[in-house]
Amino acid sequence: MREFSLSRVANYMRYNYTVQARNYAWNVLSMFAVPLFFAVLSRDATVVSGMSHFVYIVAAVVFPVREVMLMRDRSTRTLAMTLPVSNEERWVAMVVNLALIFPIASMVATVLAFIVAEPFSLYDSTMITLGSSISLHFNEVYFEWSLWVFVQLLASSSLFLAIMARRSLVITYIGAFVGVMLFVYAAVDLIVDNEWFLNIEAHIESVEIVGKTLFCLLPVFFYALSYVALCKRQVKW
Amino acid sequence: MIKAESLNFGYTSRRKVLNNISLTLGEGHIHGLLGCNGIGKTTLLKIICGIMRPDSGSVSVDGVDPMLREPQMFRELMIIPEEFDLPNVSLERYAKIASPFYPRFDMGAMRGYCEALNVDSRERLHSMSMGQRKKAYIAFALACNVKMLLMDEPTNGLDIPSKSIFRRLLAGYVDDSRMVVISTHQVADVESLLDNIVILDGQGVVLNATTADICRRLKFGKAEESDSVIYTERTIAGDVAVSLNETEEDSQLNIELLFNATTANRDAMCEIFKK
Repeated sequence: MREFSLSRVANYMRYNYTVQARNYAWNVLSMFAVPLFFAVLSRDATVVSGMSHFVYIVAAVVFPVREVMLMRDRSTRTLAMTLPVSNEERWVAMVVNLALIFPIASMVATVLAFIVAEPFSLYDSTMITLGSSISLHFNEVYFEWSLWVFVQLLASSSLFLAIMARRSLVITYIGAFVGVMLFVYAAVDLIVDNEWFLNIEAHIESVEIVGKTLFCLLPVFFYALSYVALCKRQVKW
Repeated sequence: MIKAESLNFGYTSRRKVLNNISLTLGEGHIHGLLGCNGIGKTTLLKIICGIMRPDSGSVSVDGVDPMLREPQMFRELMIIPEEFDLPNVSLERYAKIASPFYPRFDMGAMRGYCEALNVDSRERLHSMSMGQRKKAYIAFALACNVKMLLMDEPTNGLDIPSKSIFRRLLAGYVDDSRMVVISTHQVADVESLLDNIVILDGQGVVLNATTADICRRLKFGKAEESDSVIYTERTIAGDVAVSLNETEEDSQLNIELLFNATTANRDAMCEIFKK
């Protein structure tokens, strides 16, 4: 039985952050700077909310690439791959980063963007209104379960793609996007042609339950697939 | 112990680099891995480290398949690649981050190696030259005290004094429980260190023998008329040859000459070392 060590997971995360410190800094900085830029441009601090929401979703696709880059990049690959860390430990480090550290980093960046944007705002506000804006944003974005699941769905599927991509990440992502669009198009076409929507409307509550369950299970499914892909794929990058 | 059996690997179906490689590398030696450009020396090291999967055949490191990524195995195996990137921190800081993976890491020893190699362990790695950075990583790798240390062209980028210090450090590193595998074209840099020579070519392992065994079977230097010459080479100092050591004379091993003899006369060399 292979031993699993949480301290090795922590050490691996520390190693990853150190080696990719600059890249992580850029990613986190963009989560702070982009909402701030638009807020300053519009001279309205509340713009931070919408923009950070948007950046959060985009970052959910970008961050997983950073997680895999340590092992994919030619210059860091050999040293990273020969560290005494098992596949399970690497995978846990990635999942912790995406499910926990990434949302927390986004929260911190957003709060800072709110605070820095405030003096540029045309509308007078107090600490109380600033606090309520931040609190509203947190409730709508970070503490909203459906959005958290959606972000995790994006992150897990992006992680899976970043692991599966053989050579070019961009081509893989474009291919996956086109594939999903074609699937949705085909599925909608099928539903309309066969008039399944009548059945769906008739059983809307059951469909909703099934839909929500699938929606929640999909990130778990993609994270599990990522683990399998990591074990099988890492030598083929 | 590193064991490879019937290893085959190709980057594409047309570009095969390793062909039927079978070899065993044991502890207590500094193994020299030699071969022409593109023959697959670096690829073999990467397969041993589990970074690449062979098309067929198997590799085991201390009886464990490296593809399984067992941390217990990787604690005892380390590679110094020819080119690598380190984070922009000092070596001391890097050691603090990477050393928890290696239970026998010795910070004091690392500082000693750095001093010997004339590297400032408190300087940022990105402000060092390529050679300095390589020396810094060599110091770190030696201080990790792993059982199996693989080095790909370790002397590339090292200045002349550093090469002799590197030889001294490495000679002191190896004991009965450790091994070093050096893949290199700069045989002159490590000639005095190697005590086992492995020569690869497109058809497999041509030679895997200790230097003592090579010197027992072959003679290097000026050939006499009575010698059974395998290969000769013209040099400024006259002709030098590799011949059969039928009289059991002592001669100084010339790895470059041995390599050229093996390349030029593969079948004869295979026959000699098969016995």
